[in-house]
Amino acid sequence: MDNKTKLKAFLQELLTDYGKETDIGDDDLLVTSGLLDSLAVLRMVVFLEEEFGLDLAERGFDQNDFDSLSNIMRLVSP
Amino acid sequence: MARLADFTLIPPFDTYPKLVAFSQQLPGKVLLLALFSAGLSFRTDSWLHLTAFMTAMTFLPQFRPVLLTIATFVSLYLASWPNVEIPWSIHQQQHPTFYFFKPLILAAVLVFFAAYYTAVRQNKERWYAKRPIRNLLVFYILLLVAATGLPSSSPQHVYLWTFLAVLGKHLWFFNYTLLDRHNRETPQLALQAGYYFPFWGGSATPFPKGAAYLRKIAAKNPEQLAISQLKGVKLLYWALLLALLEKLLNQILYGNANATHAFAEIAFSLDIPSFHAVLHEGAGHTYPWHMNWLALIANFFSRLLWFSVWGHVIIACCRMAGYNALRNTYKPLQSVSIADFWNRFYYYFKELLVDNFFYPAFLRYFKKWPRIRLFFATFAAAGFGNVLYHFLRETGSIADKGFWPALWSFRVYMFYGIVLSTAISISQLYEKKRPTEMSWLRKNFVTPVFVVGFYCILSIFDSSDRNLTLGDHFIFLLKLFNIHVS
Repeated sequence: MDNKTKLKAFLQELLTDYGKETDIGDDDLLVTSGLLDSLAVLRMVVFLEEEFGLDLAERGFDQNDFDSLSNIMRLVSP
Repeated sequence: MARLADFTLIPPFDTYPKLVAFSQQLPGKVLLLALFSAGLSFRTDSWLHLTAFMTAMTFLPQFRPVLLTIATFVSLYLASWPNVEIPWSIHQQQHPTFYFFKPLILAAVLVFFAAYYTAVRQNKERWYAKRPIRNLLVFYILLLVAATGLPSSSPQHVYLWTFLAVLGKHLWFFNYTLLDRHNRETPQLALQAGYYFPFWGGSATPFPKGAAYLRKIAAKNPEQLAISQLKGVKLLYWALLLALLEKLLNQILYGNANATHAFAEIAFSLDIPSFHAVLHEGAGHTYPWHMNWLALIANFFSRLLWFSVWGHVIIACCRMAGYNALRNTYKPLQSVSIADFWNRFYYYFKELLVDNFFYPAFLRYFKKWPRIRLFFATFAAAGFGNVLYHFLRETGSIADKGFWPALWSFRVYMFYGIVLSTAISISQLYEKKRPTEMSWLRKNFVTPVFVVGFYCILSIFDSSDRNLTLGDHFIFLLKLFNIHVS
């Protein structure tokens, strides 16, 4: 499974947890649109740390980086 | 049954294609502005100049950031700033013809921050650029401590406290600018000045968040503007309905002793004592336990309504200006956990604490212990950040009492912060069951009653009266269960 597929599957699961059974596109807004909240972003952070070894403490944190699949992909493979 | 579940008092106009198309044409725009303006006139005396700003932004969307900056500065000049009024009046006695005191102090604060922001961006390796938000907060606290040491009648005292009051009001806006410093969406600093206390109102909490976020939610085309404005009109009229309900409830619960006429000629009232009265109950007047409960519950719901209306009007104006922001309060009575209520009740304050305290703590500490990590970060936000925000907001009290006595008078709110953050942490750690998996009764009745009940009881310790002790609040808590401690 490539990174994007892995990430998309995780986001779909997250959306299901939030009661939103919707298929997301690459640029669909996740947080700004109200689909997910900052606690969901938290789960994304943990997922990225565990799955891709990302350390956001040094890089600087910006919630906008988590607002769409394509934005998150830029974090994973800059 | 399904139809009943989908029923909304105000229909979802923003999803009707014909209405969206009509709202993009001249008559539609004029009609929306007129409807909004008429509704706004029931809520604020400033409706006329707010309408003027929104009209300009509707017809000249390409100049929206510049218009927002102009509107913000005009509104700031016209507004009354409670924290600044006292030093300003002293200054006016000394220099009655000096009309530019407020603009000059504001300019000084903005220039100070511009210098700091530029230094942070240009010298990324210097110590002050590593953790710029923490450094700004520490600098502000040190200035507060220093200011309490100055003789109270000196001109320096007046200038410094005015500067601190204005800087304090802008502090969290500046923090968002610092947070957004790497974001591609962040506009130039000069244009960000329009996002500090935008004309649609708010508090020291930025509504809605920082400049990068605002730019992201701005309408990019006429269709998005029409949808945003339809949602704005809808939210404003929902707020007006809630305001009506608030008045009606206040009449029924408390009566209308201070008004000449009863609301809507209703003479009936339960005459429930105010929460202030039962909390300050002296030895000579004891309320029965059930009256204490009624006062607490009535106060909680009355505040909830007032707060919803306040936030809805601000966000409605923001949407009319072309920024399609999320609501500040969203169906708090449907919360399925303690953490969920906190998210739904005061969304932008929660976001402020999450952005400024939660994430920095979560990303740095206890990475190998997930539960401690979450608990610590939640405590940093809902406990430490929450108390710090409220303490720094009370510059008047710090100026009057001195820094350390003012901090000591905050001990009840500190207790509130500890209990709240502990409860939210536990809620996040253990209440993981999906709302969709809950039974109807549990999701719609049992859990919300438990959650709202918790916040209602906790609100005892959220009193703004800093003269009462923690013991006074606990005595009231015991009285609810008919236990009297002298």
